[in-house]
Amino acid sequence: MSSRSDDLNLDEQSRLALTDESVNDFISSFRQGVHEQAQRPNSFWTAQRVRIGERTLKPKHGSLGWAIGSVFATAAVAIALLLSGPATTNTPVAQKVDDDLLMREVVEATEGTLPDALAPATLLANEVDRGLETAVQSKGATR
Amino acid sequence: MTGETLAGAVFDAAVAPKVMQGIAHEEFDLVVREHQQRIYRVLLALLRDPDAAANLTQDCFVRAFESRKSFRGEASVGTWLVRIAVNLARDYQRSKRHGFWRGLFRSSNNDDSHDAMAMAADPQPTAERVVLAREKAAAVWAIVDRLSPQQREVFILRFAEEMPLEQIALALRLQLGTVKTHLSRALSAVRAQIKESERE
Repeated sequence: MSSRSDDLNLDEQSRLALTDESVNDFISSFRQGVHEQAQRPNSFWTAQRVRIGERTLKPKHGSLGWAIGSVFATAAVAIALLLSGPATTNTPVAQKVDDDLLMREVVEATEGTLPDALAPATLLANEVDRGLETAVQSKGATR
Repeated sequence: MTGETLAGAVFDAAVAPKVMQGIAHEEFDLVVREHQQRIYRVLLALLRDPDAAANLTQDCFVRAFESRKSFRGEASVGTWLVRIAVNLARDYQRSKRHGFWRGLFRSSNNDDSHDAMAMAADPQPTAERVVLAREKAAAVWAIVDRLSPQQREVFILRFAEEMPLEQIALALRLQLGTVKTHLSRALSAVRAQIKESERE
């Protein structure tokens, strides 16, 4: 059946539908059934409106509200990490080696020879000591 | 804007676009209140799944609210909402094509919608009347089920919702002639099915 003939026959078919008792009964039964099945208590409609209201209020991803929420969430996580107690630190190997070297240098500096910077003073002191010893010896010889 | 002015405006095609585009969340509740039963009814008739119809009714209004700025008023708000609902139903059926449960009356006998329908028809139904009402409803839906998806959409909007053909055309984004064709073929199919069932 072509579309044009459908158009032409629609009025006739509608008229037939209205006059045909069976079809008319069918359509009214159908309409009644659809409406009765869709009947729900007021609480159902109210709950639907509440849910729709919640969903239309919910901020979308990328909105300012979402961004603020993300910042607060990040801050909360950071604070929680800080308050969870001192973190156990594992000393890195490189730092341990540096510490050992430093300690060795300190020991060498305190127990070893004098630094080069103090060498002239040491020489002077030695000369003074030697001069004093010579003076004492010569005094003893004259007595 | 008061509820009265909004409720009046949403049915006025000339005012509706501006009203819808600038509508606030609180005011949108009035639109929901006005149309929610019809949208649920259309979705239930299309899907015959009360849970899906309830969920998609919510989706329909949420989508309408989110896209309210694109509403141009070429149709009434009610027709626009029906269009969204039909599209949601099509998407749902597409996603549930495999294994989608289609027979409301072939389901468990615990569905209270059957009893509600029988109770509404007769305040003091006998067991026999309830059975007869169920059988009649099942027969009606069995015939509607045999229509093609587009014929069924047109048939439901025309005869369950009593929408004018022009509104059906707008809601389904079809030419008026195409709507008439679907309706004509649907009526022919229904008439043939009724005659066949009467012969049996």
